[in-house]
Amino acid sequence: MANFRVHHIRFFEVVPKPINCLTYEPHTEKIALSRSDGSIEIWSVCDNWFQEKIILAVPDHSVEALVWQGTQLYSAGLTGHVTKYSLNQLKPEKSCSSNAGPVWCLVSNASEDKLAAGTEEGCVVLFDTANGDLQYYRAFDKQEGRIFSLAWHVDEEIIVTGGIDNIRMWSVNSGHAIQRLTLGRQEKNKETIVWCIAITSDMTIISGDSRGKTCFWNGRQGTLILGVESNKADVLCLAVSPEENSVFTSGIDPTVVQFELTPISTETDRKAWVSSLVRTQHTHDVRALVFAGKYLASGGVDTALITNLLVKVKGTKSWFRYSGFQHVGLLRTLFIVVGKILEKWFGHLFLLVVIANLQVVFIYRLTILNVYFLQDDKEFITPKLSLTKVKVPTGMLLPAHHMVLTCDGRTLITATCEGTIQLTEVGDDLATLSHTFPSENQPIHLLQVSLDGLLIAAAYGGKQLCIYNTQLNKKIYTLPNYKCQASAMGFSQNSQELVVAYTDQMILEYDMSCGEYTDWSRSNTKTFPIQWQKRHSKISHITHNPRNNQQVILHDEQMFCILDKTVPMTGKDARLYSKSSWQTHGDSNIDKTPKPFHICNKYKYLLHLDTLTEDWLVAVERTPSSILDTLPPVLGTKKFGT
Amino acid sequence: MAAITEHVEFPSLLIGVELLSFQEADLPGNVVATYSSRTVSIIKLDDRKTIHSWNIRHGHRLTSPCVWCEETEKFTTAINNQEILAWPKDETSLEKVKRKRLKCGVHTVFCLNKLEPLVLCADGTVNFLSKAEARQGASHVPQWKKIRWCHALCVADVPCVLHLVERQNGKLLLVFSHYRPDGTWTQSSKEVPKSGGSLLNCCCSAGFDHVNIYFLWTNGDLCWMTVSTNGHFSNHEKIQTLMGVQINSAMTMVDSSHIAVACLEKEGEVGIGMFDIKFKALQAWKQYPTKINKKVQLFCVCGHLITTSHDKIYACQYECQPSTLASILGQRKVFSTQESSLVETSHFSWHVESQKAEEKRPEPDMKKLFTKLADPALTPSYSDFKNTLLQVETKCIGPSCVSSLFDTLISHSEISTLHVSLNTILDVPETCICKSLQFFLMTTEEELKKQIAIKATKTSIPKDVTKMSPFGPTKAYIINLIMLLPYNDVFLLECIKSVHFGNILSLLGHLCHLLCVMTLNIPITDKKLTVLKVIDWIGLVIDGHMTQLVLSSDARKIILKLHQIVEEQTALAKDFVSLEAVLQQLKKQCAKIPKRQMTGQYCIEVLHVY
Repeated sequence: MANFRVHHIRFFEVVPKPINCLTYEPHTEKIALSRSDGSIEIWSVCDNWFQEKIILAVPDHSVEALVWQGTQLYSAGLTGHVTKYSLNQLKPEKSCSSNAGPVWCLVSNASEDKLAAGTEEGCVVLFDTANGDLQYYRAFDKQEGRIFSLAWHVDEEIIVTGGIDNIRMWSVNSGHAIQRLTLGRQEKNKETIVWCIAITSDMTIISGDSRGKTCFWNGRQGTLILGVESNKADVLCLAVSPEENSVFTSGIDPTVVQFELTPISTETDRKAWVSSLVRTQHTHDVRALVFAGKYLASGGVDTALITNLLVKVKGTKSWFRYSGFQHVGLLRTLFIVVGKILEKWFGHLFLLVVIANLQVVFIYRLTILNVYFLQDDKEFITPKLSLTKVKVPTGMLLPAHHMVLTCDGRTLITATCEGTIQLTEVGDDLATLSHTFPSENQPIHLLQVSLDGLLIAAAYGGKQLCIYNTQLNKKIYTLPNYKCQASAMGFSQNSQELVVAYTDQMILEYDMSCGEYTDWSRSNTKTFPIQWQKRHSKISHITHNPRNNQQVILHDEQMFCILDKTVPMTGKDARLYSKSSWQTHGDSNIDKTPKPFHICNKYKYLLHLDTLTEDWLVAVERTPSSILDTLPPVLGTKKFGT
Repeated sequence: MAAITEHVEFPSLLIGVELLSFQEADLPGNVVATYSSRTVSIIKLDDRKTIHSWNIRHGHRLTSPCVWCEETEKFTTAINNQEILAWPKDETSLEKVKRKRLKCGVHTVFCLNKLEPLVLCADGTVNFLSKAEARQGASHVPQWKKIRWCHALCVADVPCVLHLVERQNGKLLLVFSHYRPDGTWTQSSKEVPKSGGSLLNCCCSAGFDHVNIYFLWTNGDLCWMTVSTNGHFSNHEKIQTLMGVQINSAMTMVDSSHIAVACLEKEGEVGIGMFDIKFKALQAWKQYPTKINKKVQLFCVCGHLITTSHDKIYACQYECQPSTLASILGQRKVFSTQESSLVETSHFSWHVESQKAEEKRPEPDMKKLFTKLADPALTPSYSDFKNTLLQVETKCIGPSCVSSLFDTLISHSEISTLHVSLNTILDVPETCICKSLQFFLMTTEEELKKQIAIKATKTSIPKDVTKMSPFGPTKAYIINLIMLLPYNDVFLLECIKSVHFGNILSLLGHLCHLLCVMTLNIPITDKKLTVLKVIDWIGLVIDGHMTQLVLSSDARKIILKLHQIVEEQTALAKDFVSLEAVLQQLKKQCAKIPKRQMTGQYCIEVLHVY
């Protein structure tokens, strides 16, 4: 098919961060996920678990709890503040102090106008969030010891908290504790910490603690119904199904244990909690579990998000693992060529673009853009690099979350937090804003510029795709809407076509001369192989073969693929690769019959793959084993003997 | 094996015109027949009916076989040696078909698998049809009288064209053209020496990196030449002389090791024969329904052999299996060569070169040599004897003489020479092995010691174990040496029956001792003698003398001892089987653990995407 020379790069030592919290919003079908560095990711469940947004971490700002209230996202952490986020601008919008030290847990009431936070100082603090506001409301009586977990009854009158050695029930009206449930200790001097807690509508309290026990309590009587040593170590998280008939727990022992409310016998209606299925899919501590529609999502120290389909469908895989790499545009922007050197100079970078001809460096740090010219002393083996700063007038550029460069490196295109697109021209000593395209009232999640710099493609959160002309300085097309979000876009070499990959694995090609589907798209979209459509890894980058404009190079984490547009689709049942070995079909005796998809799975995880000149490719790989090496040790279990 | 079915005659309406060729058509089972008058027909071979036919204009003449090109999906032929005509199969009339005129003239159009048609021009140049136009200006008058034969084939995916031209002086020149990756054609040529009579026919087959060309001469000589893909010709060698070849015979290639010859006379009848050129044997012959006297053409197409003469067309199906020694055994005598009696008496030779080497062996002097060795009067001095012995040592003994040598040596009790012969001769026949075994078993240790000096061994066999051995060290050494000789167990089993039973018992005792020593893990003198070899010999000895071993009371003791040793070994083997199962499981478990990939941080690599 094609031969390439590849710069195979493994020195990009990005380490995915452990997942701390998970929360699900059922109306928009979105999951918010926080990682140990404080970054927050928004995943769209309806778009086949697509990581659509990332709110960057703010230094020293941990996220210990995440809560949705409608489409508003709140977090709380060790700074002692509850923070509200703007999902359009992808940054914190408002913050309010708990006045009672670091916050360990945060829940919302059923009517979604109040938040309750459990704090280090043992206080339950309520916040008023009515009308999208965030204000301190009041605090309950102070108790001894910190509050690690919190649950709010659906009637909104009772809050249960989990602390050290006890569980307390609080009256929301009075702010006083009305019941205290004491937990036993496994060892005399070892406190029992209630890491997670939940309360059902029938006042059954479910707790997970540091003894590895999952306990079911009668909240009305204050008695223990069932205590099961479900895990071999601390139970850190639990999730109750919306129907309240199923509970999942997990923790330092990464086994996910399911409990089900089942009738005791066929003669009575009485039901009891019994443990049922056990899943061992994580390799390290599981820190968060959440029900997301028909899925159970879990995440933890092994950085992967694992989704389990709770209702099994015959013939389909019931669980998937999504790696912990943050793929949305900006964070995967090139760190490649001189990434390491710059990292030393500037410390933690938030946004970095290095253009291919190594002349101009754009650095976005918090909300400030810096532009530099990069020079080297022409030494072949150990070049010394130096940067010359270009003046950027202050206040001219809006904070941005996506940046792309034109091929000549002299025009920077940014997607701003306000939803506008700004063009910045870089002169020899001054960068000037040349044009701002107006906002579409939606956040931009993908931005691409054609090779000639004439066209800009922007994908908006509302599944809208717009094409802008930089010469005419206006929007020229709004492309036909598709049911899913775009995961990657790429202009052809001649800038005449735009290839867009969607989260349901569909690939569409648009003609830039009329803003409609191309003939290839019209004739082939309905005959994509089923095996291709069933893939769950999303295409993250699209480019074209510089030697053949008819060959589209697409890649995701697991593979890269050359799509030959000159070959018609071979039918829906065509086999692209062997499922068991993930090998392309007939790897040993190479099948030379023409086929549209040519898949190569040599690299895993493939973070970035792009074409350079002629037959050169650059591939950035981070192997699973290298990630595993960076993770902390797992819970020791005896594999042999007694 | 090969077989030819009965001949089937084609309907008479096709007969009477000059037929150029039969070629494979677009569908399997169909052939395209080209009549030089002006007709191209597609004929279904099953019922020999014409499915479709095209005619060209009156006054024109088809000059090249019409070929079906899968690449272009067109039939292609040449008219009047000037124009090339290509048309799709659904074309009704050839009048409107576009023609391509080549100034240099067209001799033949070929079609190779998945390639566009090739054109052999009248001046001997070769090119693809699309590029042939560029050669218009390069036309020149050829230096020969005519092209006698031509053929195109692919060798290692490289298109090649061979053509044989007859020069003005009557000499034949074989020209080989092959395509180079840079898009040019390279030609090389070699004169074909006359073998005998005049050339009847040629055919060729593709080898791994060369082309085999076969020439059939009127005197029946089948000759052979090869040309490698870099244009290097081998010498013109005679393979054999085919009997029954007539002046009107024709030849065609059936597969890489079989040729078919039409109008072959056998026992006064004329028919078609199929020869195995690897083993030089006639494998099948089928008589024609009527006698054919005129010049014929022979085509091999779609599993059929089609013989055409001016008034008859016969087709017969054939079956041709791969050429193996097993399939050829017993068939070679059916058809002997006229002149190569020397080759006939020796063993089969696979290549002409090796055949020649064998012919040079000094076999006629062998008898004198043996007489010298055996008769002390003929070798009065030690140096004479030594010189004679040296000839044996230089391995100049042909396989057919080995039996005589061993018989002579054994009859004269030449222990030393026999020892030398066993050491030097590679393929000792099984009868000789058994005769030698019998001889050495009957010879005493003292006699052997006198004539065979073995080096002091460095074995660490305990003395008590050595004492158990029924033979002395020299005898044991020579018996072990015999047991190391290669043999065929079927033949050896027959021969070993001739060994005296008393000797068999002592041999069995020795084998029992060897088995015991080897299982104690003690190295013996000759490291090559393995336990498996000893077990094979025990099996052979027991099989060969089963009845006597059952009946003889002398054999009881040794049989019981042997059983005891084997029983112990069986128990050990059972333990090994269980251990193997455990290790197999362990191996499987180990395979599950992924290997840590030791990869660098950066590299440049070449990636092939299929």
